[in-house]
Amino acid sequence: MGKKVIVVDDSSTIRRQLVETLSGAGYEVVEASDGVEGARVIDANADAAMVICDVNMPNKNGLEMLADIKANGKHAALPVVMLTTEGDPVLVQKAKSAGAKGWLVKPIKPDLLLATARKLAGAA
Amino acid sequence: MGSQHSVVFDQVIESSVVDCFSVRELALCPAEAVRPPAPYAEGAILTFISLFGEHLTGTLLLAVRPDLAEALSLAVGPGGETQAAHLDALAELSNELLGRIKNRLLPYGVTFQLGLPKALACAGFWLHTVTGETRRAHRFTSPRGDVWVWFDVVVGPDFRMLPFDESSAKCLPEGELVLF
Repeated sequence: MGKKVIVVDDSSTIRRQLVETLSGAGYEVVEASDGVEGARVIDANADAAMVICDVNMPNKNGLEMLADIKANGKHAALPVVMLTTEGDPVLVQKAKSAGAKGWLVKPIKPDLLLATARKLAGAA
Repeated sequence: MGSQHSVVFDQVIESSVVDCFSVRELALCPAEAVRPPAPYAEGAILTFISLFGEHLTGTLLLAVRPDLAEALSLAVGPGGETQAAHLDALAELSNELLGRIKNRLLPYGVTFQLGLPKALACAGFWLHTVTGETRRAHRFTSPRGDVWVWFDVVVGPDFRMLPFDESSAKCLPEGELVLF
């Protein structure tokens, strides 16, 4: 089994796309559909190598989830990349300040996604 | 809303819609809107997403034929066969579309927040806009039937659109990544 990547997005379409790309390259993918479930899944998967997280989600958005998990010391080193439709520099700066490792603007480019995973999580 | 705003909105919406579908390998051609919009005889998938800012508020609506939504969903990969998947694929497309519109309006000093997209299947529909206007209905032709987009926005008295200034807001380009 490859390195574990946690995908947090309320869109099943985006989760399918991420699973297709990452699993195809050998990564194990664990899914969550909002920030509340995402935080729970991250807590339950201490061996995760990376998180890819949407910003605009119900219940708890991605930036709120990011702040929560970074406040928990055990996830301080876990790389989190935000995946969103928006390129607003104000939001990008918020994510950086909250501890994100990157900001990826949709649409998803599989090659770029895999290059990011290899850089932050390591080879599958 | 002043005509200058409408022209910019129209240009941004048109380019954003064409680009959004182009990424999904579907070529759209802008066409003259018919008023009132004709209902889809074979049903439709309709998605809508709210936007709200200090000086403007409204909704983006996107409507396509069911087989187009199905094709978008199936193109993603396994698991796209159900109607729920078709609805989600179109909802996600509307989310991406409004994100592009926001990104492309930032250099004009226009900003807003996005709501969460919703999608539904319907036998047909008629649209009653908040403003009572239908002129911001955008129609696009495609090999899989017409695509309709409405950008139904109300602007407040203090709304201002600045001259285009790309340097004022260094928005990350679509499809790109920045690592910190």
